[in-house]
Amino acid sequence: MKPLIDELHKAFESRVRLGIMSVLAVNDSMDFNALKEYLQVTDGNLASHLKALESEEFIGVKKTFVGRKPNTTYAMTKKGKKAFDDHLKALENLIKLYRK
Amino acid sequence: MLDYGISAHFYISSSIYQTSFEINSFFMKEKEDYISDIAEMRSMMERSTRFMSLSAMGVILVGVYALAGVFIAYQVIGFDPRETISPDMTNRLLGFGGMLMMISIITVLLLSYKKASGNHEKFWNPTFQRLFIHALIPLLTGGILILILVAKDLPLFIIPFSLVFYGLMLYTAGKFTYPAFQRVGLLDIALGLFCTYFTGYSLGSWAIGFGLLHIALGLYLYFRYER
Repeated sequence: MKPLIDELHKAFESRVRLGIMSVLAVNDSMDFNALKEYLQVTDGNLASHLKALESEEFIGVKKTFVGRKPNTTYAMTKKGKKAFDDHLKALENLIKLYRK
Repeated sequence: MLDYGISAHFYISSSIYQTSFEINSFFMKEKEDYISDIAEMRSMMERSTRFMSLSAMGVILVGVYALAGVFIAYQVIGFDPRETISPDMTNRLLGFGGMLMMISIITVLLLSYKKASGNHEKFWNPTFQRLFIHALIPLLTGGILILILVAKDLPLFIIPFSLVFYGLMLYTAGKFTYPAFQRVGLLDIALGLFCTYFTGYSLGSWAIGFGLLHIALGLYLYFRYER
């Protein structure tokens, strides 16, 4: 039982991070404001979670300009996709275990 | 499980029991968390790819307008697809149909806007934009085709083609909002093809496709997602 728990990645312990990864798993890329809207969190909160995922190299950041306004978009990296899929699988396995 | 008799194994077995109990309760506490984690992830994926603020009540109202519209077209305007359609009748029908479409669109947009603000969601968000662009293409194609039919004096096919292209629009839209749109879209396409051949049934098919199917779809959405 213990190894199953170990498979749950530490980076995904937070709901916000899990939410960010879920959104990026099904969208090619997403900008900061759209993420903020889906997750219903403050700027600072979202930024710190994004930074954490970025330092794990789970997400990539692209900074562009829309007119004069800076626009930051985020996308999932291959490494992030794999970690996310593994985490999802581990969660499903854990739940299956209880059903028995 | 617990042995109350004093034996050499007592402490060992009880400590094993204790440990397994702790693991168990650790799991039990987290179980609900895992399930809600997955539910949250699923809803996040859905909310970020599909526009889920489309109002079910709006869809039902569109169906009611359509039924009323068929009644007015037949009884008041005097349209009968089994008779020859005069150019004058075509114009009146087009004007009335266009008005009905405008009222329907405004109703759905207003009610959806209200629902989106209730969900603390921006109305003009990426999911709505995607839905809008993908729905617009079959709808514009159908609209232009119908104007060409009018110009070429083929009014018999206006109603059947409106069903076919509306069905195509719903089928496409089903990927960007509620999946149930796809099934209704396929039914509308089938009805449209049917009355392209049997043009005498076009008004009846339109009443089913735009009236009854919208009401059924709206009721389904209401009970499935909104209640």
